[in-house]
Amino acid sequence: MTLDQIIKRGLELGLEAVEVYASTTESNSLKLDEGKLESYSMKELFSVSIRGLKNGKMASVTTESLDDEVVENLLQALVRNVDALDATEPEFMFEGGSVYQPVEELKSNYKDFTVAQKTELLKTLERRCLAVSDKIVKVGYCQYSETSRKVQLKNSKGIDLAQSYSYISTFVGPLAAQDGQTAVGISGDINTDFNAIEVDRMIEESTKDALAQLGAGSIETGKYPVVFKRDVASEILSAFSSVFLGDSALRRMTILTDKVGQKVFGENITICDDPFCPMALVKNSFDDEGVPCVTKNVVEKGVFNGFMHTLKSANALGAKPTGNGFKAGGGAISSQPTNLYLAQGDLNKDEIIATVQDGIYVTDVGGLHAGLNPISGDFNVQGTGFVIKNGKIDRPITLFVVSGNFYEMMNNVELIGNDIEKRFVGVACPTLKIKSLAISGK
Amino acid sequence: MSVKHQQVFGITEEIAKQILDVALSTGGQFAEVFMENATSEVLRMRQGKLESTNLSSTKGAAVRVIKDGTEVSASVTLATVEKLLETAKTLADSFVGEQTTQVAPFVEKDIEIVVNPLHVRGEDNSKELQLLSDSTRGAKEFSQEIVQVISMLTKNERNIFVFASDSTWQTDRRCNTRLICQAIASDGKDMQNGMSSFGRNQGMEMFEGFDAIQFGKEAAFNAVEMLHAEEMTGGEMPVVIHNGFGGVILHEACVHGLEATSVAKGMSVFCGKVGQKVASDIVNAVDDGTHPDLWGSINVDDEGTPSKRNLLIENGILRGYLVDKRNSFKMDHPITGSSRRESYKYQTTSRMTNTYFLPGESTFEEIIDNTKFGLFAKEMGGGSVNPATGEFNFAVNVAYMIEDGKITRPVKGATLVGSGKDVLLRIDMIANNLEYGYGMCGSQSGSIPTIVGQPTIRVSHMTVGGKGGNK
Repeated sequence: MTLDQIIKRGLELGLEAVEVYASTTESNSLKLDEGKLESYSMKELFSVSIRGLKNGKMASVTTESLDDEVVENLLQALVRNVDALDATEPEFMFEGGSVYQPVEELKSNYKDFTVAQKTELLKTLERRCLAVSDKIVKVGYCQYSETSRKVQLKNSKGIDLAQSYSYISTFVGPLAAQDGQTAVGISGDINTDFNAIEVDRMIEESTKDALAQLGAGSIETGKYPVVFKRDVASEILSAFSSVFLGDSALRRMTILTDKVGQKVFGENITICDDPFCPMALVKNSFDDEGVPCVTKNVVEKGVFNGFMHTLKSANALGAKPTGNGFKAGGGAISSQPTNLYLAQGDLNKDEIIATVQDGIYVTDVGGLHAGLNPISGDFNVQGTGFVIKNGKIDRPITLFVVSGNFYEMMNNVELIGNDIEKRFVGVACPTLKIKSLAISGK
Repeated sequence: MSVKHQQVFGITEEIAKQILDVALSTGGQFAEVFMENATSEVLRMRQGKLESTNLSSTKGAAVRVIKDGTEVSASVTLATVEKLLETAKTLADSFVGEQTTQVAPFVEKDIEIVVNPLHVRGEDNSKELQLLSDSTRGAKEFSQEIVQVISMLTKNERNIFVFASDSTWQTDRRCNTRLICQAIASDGKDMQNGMSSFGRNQGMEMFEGFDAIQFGKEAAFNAVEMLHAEEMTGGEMPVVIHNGFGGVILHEACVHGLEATSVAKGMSVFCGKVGQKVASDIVNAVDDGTHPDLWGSINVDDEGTPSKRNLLIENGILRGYLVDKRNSFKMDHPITGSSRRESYKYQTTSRMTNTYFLPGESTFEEIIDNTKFGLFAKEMGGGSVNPATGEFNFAVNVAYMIEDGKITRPVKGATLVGSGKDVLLRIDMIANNLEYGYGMCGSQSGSIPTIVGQPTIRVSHMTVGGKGGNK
């Protein structure tokens, strides 16, 4: 069946509105190990998600085959499933006719380069990492990937949209070893231009990180001022981004549920969801429901302005649609940020560290998927980093736990860096200095 | 076999040989085609109402060719015979040379069927809905502090077919069913989350005699218990990790570092340690994919190798790694039936199945009695590890303090961190109460069902994180 035939057939089967979302992805990835191409993998993937609306209820099916029989069976299952649903907050399908702010297509030139050239790039990365120091004993991760994706969204109410993008990502992870201790540094690059991949920066960052962690010791348990490296701050903000989502509010799974319009964070905190953010890699003019994306400050000078919504959550909570309905795998829509970032301050990382007498610089965290509770805001994560003494990086430390509460922490941000990552994907945050957090170690 | 591959996948032996010959035409030493046909269904109930369903159908294939240690592979959704031939040609074109390896005559192994799912889909969803509403009711009725209950049932069914130039010709049918109940407790100020989870590689028959109300209550108990718990005060102390999902410590702290993906590249702290002492003398551990009831079990792995019971640690000595076909050449280690992938979209590699510590000689009571002060980690959450450094972390969902040999007050927010090579050496007591926990393990080849298990164990000292105390 074609996409149009699917819509037509769905309506014939009694659905009030039908939507199809087709995506085609091509991606290739190369991995190098000890001067040799370890693997070259290619993917050509295709899938169609179909959503059907009836009596304010919505069910979805996803298929990778458009064979008539497969699609017919799925459509019939969809109708049965939509009838079986209980009525909760009403669902909607968006009508066509909106004006969309155009965005420039993200287009990579990777097809102009050969596999041999890409392999050579990885060889250079590996060779030059190893040449940095005798203590770099191995480059454990040396990988190049290119992806192009095309999405088509159509529904029976006049939506007919398409978007495509392509980009390259490269990353390298050298392993440093000394006296039986090992440490890994990781650095990556996301780009559209093959010739612009920042090889020098990746080598410098990753080897420096690995070498600096050698000889890491432990830290005494206590409360310390903490500086989060921008990558770590971004990961934490990303892990807690669900507290700003309409879905979480519907399920009462965020402490911000009844706090729209109230001051929830420190006055120095502004968090923006900007689908057109110039610093971000991907720009979106519409979401996966076909709703135009809009720029908004989710938090402005500490005041919570409102949730990021799907059509359903916006309606249920009496808010305007925000264009934040995206598919998170499978066919169903959930609220998600476009490009979410914490607004920058004016100090660089070293200037921030210089303000700390006796504290911790956290450069890596582990266990964010398990060690945090987005409902209470509590987090306990494994940390790696450095002791800061008299405004300077002192010795490396590892295997400690950083504990805090996201809501409290956002009221205790003392300084904000000016160093948001260029071409970020998803969520970004500059370097942050927190007044005090609990550190568990020895 | 229950699956007729020709019917499902449209591949005859002649066609299979033709595809593999094309793949090997430039000197590849090994070629393989993995085909998959899967359906997956998710039913989600919120506050007793069926809120959403998603049904998905997956169909595709992965082809790979290995020559002198380099693997070229492709995953394609539209896996017609023409497309597979074209893909084999594209892969072969990555190499230069003449065909040196011939396709061996296919042999379908006579494997022991340990996993045989029955009732994946019924006439209607009435049984499924009953389970969801019973677990919701169990959680809601447990306490007035339960403000939200979400119950979710996922059912996956996969038919796979793999054929390769080394004579492999194997099909398998897998099924994973899992029920999850999540309860949120609130006292108006704080909110805490409690979960319970039950999964098997079976169809709906796994719920025979299952008490869904009790299952919901357990989720609610965990949420309410933690709502009234004090904040954990961090530091270094003895930790008693309870049986069942507590085995996540073995999974994270050690066995990820025994997977060939890390070992073959020299990126594991356990490289070159076979035959050496890596754990205290009382420690024995296995990865066993043949256990009929456990949801990490498979009849054959995704390379068509029958699954095995692999002894990993025997009386503290490392006995072996988890190895797939490709890494077996590189590491000179036999294959262990451990090659797994989430779907054809991932490259298959060595992974865990059901991984657990074997029972010891102590009793649970003896372990608590003998602990003057420490943490009792009753329900573990998830964790992660960096295999290259062996440093791991995991969250404790439900925990209590042990004081003077007694379990006393509940504590929340405890996190354990450590290094794999240290923690196994510090296990000084193991109980006789082996239990299993259900997990999904995410790694290079995607997310797969695995069992973590153990009896109650005590680690003499480790770092516990928490934000309590005024130090």
